[in-house]
Amino acid sequence: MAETQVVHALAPAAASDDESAFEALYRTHAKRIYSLAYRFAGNAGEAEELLQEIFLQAYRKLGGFRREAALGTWLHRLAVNRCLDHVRSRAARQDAVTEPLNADHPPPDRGASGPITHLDLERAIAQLPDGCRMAFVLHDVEGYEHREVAARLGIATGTSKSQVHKARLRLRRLLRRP
Amino acid sequence: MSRNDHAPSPGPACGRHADALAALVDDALDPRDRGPLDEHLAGCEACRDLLTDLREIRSLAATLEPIEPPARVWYDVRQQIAAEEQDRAPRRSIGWRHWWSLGGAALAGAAAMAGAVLVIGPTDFTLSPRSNELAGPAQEAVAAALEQIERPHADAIRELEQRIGTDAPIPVAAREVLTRNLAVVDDAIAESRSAVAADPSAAVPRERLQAGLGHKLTLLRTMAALELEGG
Repeated sequence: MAETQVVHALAPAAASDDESAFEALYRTHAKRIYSLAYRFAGNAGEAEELLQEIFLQAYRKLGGFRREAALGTWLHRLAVNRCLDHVRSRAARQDAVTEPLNADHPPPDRGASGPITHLDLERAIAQLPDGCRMAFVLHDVEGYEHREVAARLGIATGTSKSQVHKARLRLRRLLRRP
Repeated sequence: MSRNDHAPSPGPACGRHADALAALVDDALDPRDRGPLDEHLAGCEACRDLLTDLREIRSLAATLEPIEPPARVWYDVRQQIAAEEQDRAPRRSIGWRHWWSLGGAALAGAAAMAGAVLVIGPTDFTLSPRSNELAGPAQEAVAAALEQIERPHADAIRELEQRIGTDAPIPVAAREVLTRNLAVVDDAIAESRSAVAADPSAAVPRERLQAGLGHKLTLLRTMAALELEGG
């Protein structure tokens, strides 16, 4: 089902009880949103919970969806906000009991030599501190501009630039051959 | 960036043009700063290596593939929506409207009752792991954990399986969806049981097993209601 059909099926009257249209919406966007959640959270378990919460939230909020925004954009914005809230609240919970990630942490085990793969990069991203990981994922993976990253994270544009640069430098260290 | 390119490892960049280098990776370097940076790069191998690596990281990041979520997530979403819809309309019949939420669009043409027989396999409620997997206190801990989780659902599931598993008059399309949904639920239950057996004290596998059994019970009750409506 095309997204426009999904919009027509879902937007009026809070989804109008049409789960097949909602399933089409899920099938269209779940991979991208799960990927975002996975890279924000850094693990599959939390990403699954986030994906479920985001789509349930979307189902409940579809009545408030306004057609001037694309449905995918609306859904993605909702997903980013939920992922941000999750990472921030997790950080607050962990502050008291865990040490922050720093450059002394050992790099991920990357095995033998060879070109850096997407899998290597995924693993290394999961090792980044929350702040620079979120900025990096939004900018370098999701393709947001620095001013958009800054608006989403509630930071200055210059801070977004420095966080992304910091993330790339850390990734370089993490991906370097021992 | 290849792991062999910088053996044994790249030296640290000199840092004198760090901001300009970062801007260049973002394709946002002010043209006025380009000349001095190019001049520096011509004589600084460490910064050239750094630029190459950062550009490769950015390029790799932009081409990361989307990750496929596990199928159980959609199943959980669908179950949750069905439960919320039921709460919202408590007097509504449990029949086709709820069945639709469990079965999806595949039921669209299933208006005609076909009187098909649905055979449901019994749920495995063996409350102990296989004897060759664990022994002694560990086995007892697993058995106790599984019993604690499964006991509240076991009797109801067995009773419904026996009742529905004989000659349930279920539409053909519905039977296909039922079979698929039951398979998903049973897989999830089996997976959760294994996880509980591996670590009986872990909260997440216990919750997932409990949720899986709850989903199965809901599904079987819906089938029983369908059977009444169609019979």
